[in-house]
Amino acid sequence: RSIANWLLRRRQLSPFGACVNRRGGASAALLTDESAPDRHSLDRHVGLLYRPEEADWQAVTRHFCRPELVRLFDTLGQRALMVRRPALEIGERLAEHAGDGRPCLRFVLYGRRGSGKSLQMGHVASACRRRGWLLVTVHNAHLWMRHSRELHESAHRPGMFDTAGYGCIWLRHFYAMNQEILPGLRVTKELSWNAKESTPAGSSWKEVIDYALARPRYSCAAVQFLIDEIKLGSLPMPTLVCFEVANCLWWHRSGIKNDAIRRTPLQGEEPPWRADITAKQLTLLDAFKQLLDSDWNNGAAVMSVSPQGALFDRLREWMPRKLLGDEGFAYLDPFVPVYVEPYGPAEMSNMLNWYTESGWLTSEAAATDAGRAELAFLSDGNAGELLRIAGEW
Amino acid sequence: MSQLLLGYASRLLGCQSRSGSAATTAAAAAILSQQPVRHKSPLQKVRKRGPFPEWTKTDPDPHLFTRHIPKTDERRTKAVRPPGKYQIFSVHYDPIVNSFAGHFVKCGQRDKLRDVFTQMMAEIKHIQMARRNAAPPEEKASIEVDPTRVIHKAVENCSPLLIIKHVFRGGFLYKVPCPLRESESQMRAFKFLRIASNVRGTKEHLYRSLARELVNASNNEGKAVHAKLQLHKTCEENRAYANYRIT
Repeated sequence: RSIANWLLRRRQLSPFGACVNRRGGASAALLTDESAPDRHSLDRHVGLLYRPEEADWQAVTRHFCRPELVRLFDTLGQRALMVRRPALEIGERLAEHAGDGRPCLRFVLYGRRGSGKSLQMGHVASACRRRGWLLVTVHNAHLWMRHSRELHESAHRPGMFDTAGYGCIWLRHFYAMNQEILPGLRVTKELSWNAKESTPAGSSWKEVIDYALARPRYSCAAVQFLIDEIKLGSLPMPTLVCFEVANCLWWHRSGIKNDAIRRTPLQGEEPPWRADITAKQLTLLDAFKQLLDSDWNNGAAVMSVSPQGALFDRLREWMPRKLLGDEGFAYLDPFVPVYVEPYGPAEMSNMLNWYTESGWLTSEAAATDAGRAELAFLSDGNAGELLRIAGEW
Repeated sequence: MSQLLLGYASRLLGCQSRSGSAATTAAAAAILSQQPVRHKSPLQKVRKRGPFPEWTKTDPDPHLFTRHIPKTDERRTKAVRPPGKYQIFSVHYDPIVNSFAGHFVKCGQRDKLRDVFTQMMAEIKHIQMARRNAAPPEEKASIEVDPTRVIHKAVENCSPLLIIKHVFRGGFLYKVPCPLRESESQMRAFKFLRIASNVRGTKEHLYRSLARELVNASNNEGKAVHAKLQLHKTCEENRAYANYRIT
């Protein structure tokens, strides 16, 4: 008896047989003309590719993409992102949720590594930016915990550590993302940086950011002050918080050792000197963690959990409960879990068509039925894997 | 493997396997047209030694042959060389790229090298596409973007025709130019490319330096092609001793 018949009877055939078209080979990629993410709808645009607008791309979406994807778009001279179900479902809930006075709604995107969680967050973020929301996005928290450029003992939060360099980088990124909205925002109370210097109430957010960029020592304090302002709930527009790899906030390990601050121990001071400095002791990360709490109104939080945030550990886990641990799960509970699934047959077929059409798949085999079936099989529906493997074909 | 996938696909879509019987007949004809081994009975074990015909890229999946062949058929006992260890029956398989990868393997870590080569071929595409975008319209068509073809051209440009062999004769060591087998010439090309892409320290990843070197070699520039030309020059200088060749 043939192997294929045996597999047919046990229904173990790959669903990617549908990537093979009846005509054979690649066909035209299905693109939509709708380049505004907030106008995408579940019944019309799912599974289609859209071209993000230049302003949206530069300000928002670019930060959510992997460097390899950004480089691919630069080389090809064109950009196309897929509209998928998780981002549209979250977008619909957020559109209803805004301005209700309800507490912060939290979504946790989960899925295998490379399945497309960050890009879904990027779609939601750029849709909210078009609706006029304030965006607070953190992309590199797990990298901040792997390497420390400068680590100082914090003045505004004793017992914790400031990462001044990352604070400055984040403030610049925040300003570039919200350039249209920030001129209208004012600080409601006086911010005291130290005993002598303070910024008066009523000054604009831009002044606070400029002060912190000029005085990097106070960049983390500035981030904390801005987040306090957001949590008061008195801003004229809702706030969207996007946090990539959120599980690193509750992780017990990091790449920063306690002796990174390089000072001599005080008399009688106890070790451990080589213990890891976790997110609880970093002011910047703790500030963003406060935004993920549900004790503030007029906003929402979308975060993802990934094995990348499980530093040096649990590389095969991808479920939220395992990655967040007891503490993280208790902090975030209740949240809305959103599964980012692998590509289905139609999505995979569309993606392969686009890669062929844009000229990235240069091999003749990639346009044939057998080649497409093999690409689908090797990547197993994982978007990131397909991107990596397609570089070879 | 590719035929199996096609079979699954066509059954799933509900259409007939269009190419099944035609391919099998053609492949059977190709195999049968080769000289068969003569032995007493069809079931007797084959004892003849090589050179056996190789499995080539155009042959279909070997599993297809064991299904409907009767026991007395000579295809069951025909002597054919088994496929190589890293030979894949895939539409994307290329023997030169495969051998090139094998040349770089250290401590048996070929799977690690697979990732390096995937990145390297993507890097070749990036380099060549950037070059093509910047080139004037009349030159655009001549820039090769496919990484497999770039590797083929680079290996061809780095393959030496002659090599220096040292012959000790009459108390003197002579450098004798000798011809090369094709496989040895290919190996020399791989070696030139590997040494040319070696970057000291951690300044650059292998995939990046190797991609750059391959692109340069396909344009007849760079360190690897220079090494080959130096070798040819030494052979030319020592052509008087060509008759000292041993083999």
